[in-house]
Amino acid sequence: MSRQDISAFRSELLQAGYVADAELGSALWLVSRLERPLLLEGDAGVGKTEIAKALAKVLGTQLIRLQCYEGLDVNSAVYEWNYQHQLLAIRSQEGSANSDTAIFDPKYLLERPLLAAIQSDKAPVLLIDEIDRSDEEFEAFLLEVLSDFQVSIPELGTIEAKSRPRVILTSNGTRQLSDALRRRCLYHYVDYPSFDKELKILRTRLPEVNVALARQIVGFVQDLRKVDLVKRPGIAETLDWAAALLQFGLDKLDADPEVLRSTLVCLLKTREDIERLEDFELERLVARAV
Amino acid sequence: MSDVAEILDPQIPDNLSQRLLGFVHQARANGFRVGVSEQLLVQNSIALIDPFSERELRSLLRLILCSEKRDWNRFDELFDSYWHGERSRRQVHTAGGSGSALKLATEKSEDSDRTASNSNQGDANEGAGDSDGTGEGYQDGASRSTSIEKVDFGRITDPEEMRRIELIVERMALDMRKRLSRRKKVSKKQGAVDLRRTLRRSLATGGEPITLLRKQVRKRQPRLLLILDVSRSMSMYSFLLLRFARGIARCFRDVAVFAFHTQIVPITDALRQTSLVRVRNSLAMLGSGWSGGTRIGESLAQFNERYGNWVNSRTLTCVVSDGYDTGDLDALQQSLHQLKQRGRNLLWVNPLWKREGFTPEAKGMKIAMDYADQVAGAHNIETLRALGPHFTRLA
Repeated sequence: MSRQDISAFRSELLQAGYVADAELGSALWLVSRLERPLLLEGDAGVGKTEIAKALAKVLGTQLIRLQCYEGLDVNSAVYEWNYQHQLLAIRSQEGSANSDTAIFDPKYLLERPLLAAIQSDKAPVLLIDEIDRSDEEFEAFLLEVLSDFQVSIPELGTIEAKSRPRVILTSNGTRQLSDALRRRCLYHYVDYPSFDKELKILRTRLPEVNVALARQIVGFVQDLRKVDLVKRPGIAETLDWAAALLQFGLDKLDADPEVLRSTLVCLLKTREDIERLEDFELERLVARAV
Repeated sequence: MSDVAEILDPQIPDNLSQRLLGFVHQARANGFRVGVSEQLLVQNSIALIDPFSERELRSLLRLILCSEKRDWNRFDELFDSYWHGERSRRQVHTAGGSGSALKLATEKSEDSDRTASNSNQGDANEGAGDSDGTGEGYQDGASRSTSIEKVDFGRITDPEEMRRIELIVERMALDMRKRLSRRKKVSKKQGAVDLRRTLRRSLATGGEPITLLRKQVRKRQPRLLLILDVSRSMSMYSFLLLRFARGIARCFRDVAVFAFHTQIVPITDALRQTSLVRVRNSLAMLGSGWSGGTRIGESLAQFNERYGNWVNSRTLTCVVSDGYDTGDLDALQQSLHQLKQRGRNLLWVNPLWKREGFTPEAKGMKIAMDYADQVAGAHNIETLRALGPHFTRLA
């Protein structure tokens, strides 16, 4: 029974524009049932964020995204009081008889992503992006939210979740996450895609690229990843590059070396990498791919 | 673990849940971060899948039991050896509880004992030498971890042991961050206005924010500068110290690591790469002269010239070197003086410092002692661990 469920789920993901392999497909399927957060790790550009988007599409629900950064605090992640309105409210009550109206009222509360996620009626997909960039204090705070799905606001009390959001966390591994957080989460490592998978992704996203060129593009990028680069190209880069080649009207990689070289900016994002890929290396890669 | 077994779904056949329990134990013994809650999750979620489909079982267990890339990579091996290795009685176990590389060992006896959970008991207890006993899933054993503390890095020949030590060392560096960032201090300067508290206070004055409350600035992490000597006289220690540096480079934001023998090379970016193989490759590219002669003075002078601006008043500089210098001693004196002036503090780590019978004979070391705020050793785990307090004190 469950096997059909999973394969149906995978084809739904495919319709949402995401090519998931069997492993990831069943992982996502399980996440939507186990009600545990899923921690996705992998290099930048392997499509971690896309997974959350596709999941939201398949479940027909809202995607709420919290982008983490150094210094992210409760005020910008959970809630903030609307001070201007509160001040106005105090002023407008001055001198009037019924001056006991509370200013710590939900109507003066500004929802930030985490609060919004537990307040919505239909369980949304909550994407906590690049958790490794946030501070340790915030990580600890997040643990509390993720285990109980409730938020305490001193002035209002505890706000319970109306629905349990499906939580997806992503990390690029720029710093170690705490053991406690890791243990709260299910785990999936997203690797660079295999040739077949990447070809499928390219064909799904850019159907106007012809099959022969698509094979060459994917073959080239797969080989390029083996070169010692500072920043290896991800799937997003492959797609950008394919779109660029399409714009230039190239139908074969070896058609015009000049143009090819100029489109490499889509794949290589640092000066060292562009310099490192010398002409003969480029020719070798093209020859292999064609 | 019988209490767990009692509250299981009665629909699952007994022997399957026994086997699952055995697998969870096996994973824990191999350093996976698995506690009781994961165990329960496995048992409760098994009903969601078809437990007799290997693919589904594998992906469910992988999803729940893994918690980082290292686990992810060796999961298949563990899974296969447990569920398929029954006949050959091969068992996966590692020496260290914090999980070094997998090692397959053939088990001799226990033919009579077929239940998996029993045969794994011994394994779980072996998982000693755990550097962080935080998870309730960890099994601790004291004897092993104390002996490893005192082993001189230079005397380790067993690669297995080395790998274990490398892991401990890297983990220790990660813990150091907590130590440093926990320190808080009330700033004398006043920070930004804290609207929330100000507003609260203003209620007393009818909404007129008379007293402005401010956010106190928390003391920031110090900037860390690590300069490693990778010359020949240091070769016994340099790789381990690089691992230590890697741990530090990965968890501190404001850190720079340099290596030198006859000239100075920045290696922070190389250390930050996620895969150890790539780290090794990039370091190998630093190339000729690695483990060659030492010119501390010239190298430090070079540092001051090229990267000196990076050092500011919050910087804790840590030089790791034994002080054997084949170069110009005046240069050493001068450049240390400069470093000291620019930065906050200077910590000199001489790996041999605490070794028995060591006396600072090297001229370079004598100069270093004049300038360093603190000299520390690092020839075994115990002394390396003691670096933490030094860092905290000087930062």
